[in-house]
Amino acid sequence: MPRAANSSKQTRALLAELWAQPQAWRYGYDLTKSTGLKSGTLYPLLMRLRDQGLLEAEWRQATEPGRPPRHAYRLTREGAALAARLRSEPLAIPRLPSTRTVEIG
Amino acid sequence: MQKLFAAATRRIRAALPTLAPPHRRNWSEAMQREIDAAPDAAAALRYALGCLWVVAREGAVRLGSPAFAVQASLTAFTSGLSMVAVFTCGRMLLVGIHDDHRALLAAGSAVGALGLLYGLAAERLIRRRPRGLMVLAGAVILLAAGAALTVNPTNDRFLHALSLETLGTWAFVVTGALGSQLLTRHPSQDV
Repeated sequence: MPRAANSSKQTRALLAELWAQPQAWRYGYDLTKSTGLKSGTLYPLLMRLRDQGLLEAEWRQATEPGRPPRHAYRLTREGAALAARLRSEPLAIPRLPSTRTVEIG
Repeated sequence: MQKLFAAATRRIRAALPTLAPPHRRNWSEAMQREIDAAPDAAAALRYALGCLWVVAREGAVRLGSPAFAVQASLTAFTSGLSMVAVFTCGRMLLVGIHDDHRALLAAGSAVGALGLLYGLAAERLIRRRPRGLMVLAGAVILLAAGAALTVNPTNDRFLHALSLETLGTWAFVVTGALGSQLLTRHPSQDV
């Protein structure tokens, strides 16, 4: 059975993190620290969520003076709705394949 | 070690926009800024490696094409040859110096020069400079052809064999690069 879109553990973790502060703009490195996701996992998720219209992304002035702008992210209304829905749904645990008992002898 | 990490990170950081497909270039620049935000060299390198993986995969998915496959294979081929040649050159020079063996020193230098040329070819492939690659390949092929014609195969069997081998490998590189260019010009052929 195909898995529902955006239901992976990593996507849920990212959505939950962004949903915790829905109005705040978050940066990539900070998200890897707070979610525990590696950059190699985080960016494909961010790109996909952005492509699906669930995430806003824009260049924002860095908080540290003299630093160039950074790409920042926050959930769109649709993204926030999805995050809220996923938060209320339990994580689906894949069912193990049934085992067969074989009688010997 | 910190310096090594920082140097590797700088290389990867600089390569990200080049490797990223056009529709993801903005993201590769975003990754660059975040690499700068890492608190230390090791964390920056870990982050950069993850970004490199994403960009390379995005490139592969985007192009997903014979052109990309050819380009990537050629890059791997020339990089591999460069590393093998530089390693072999080092060994030959060490033994040559130790034994005061002039022929071995000459052969080692030739292999080392070839290693550098393969490295240059890989760099041009990564930076997508087909014209630069063709100029380089043309010069190497001319030199190798000249060497193959002038070096006496009985007296200097190694250099003769090396020049023939060089002709073969660079002809392969040129064919691959031309093929890749043709495929890029006909995106409809991309799968």
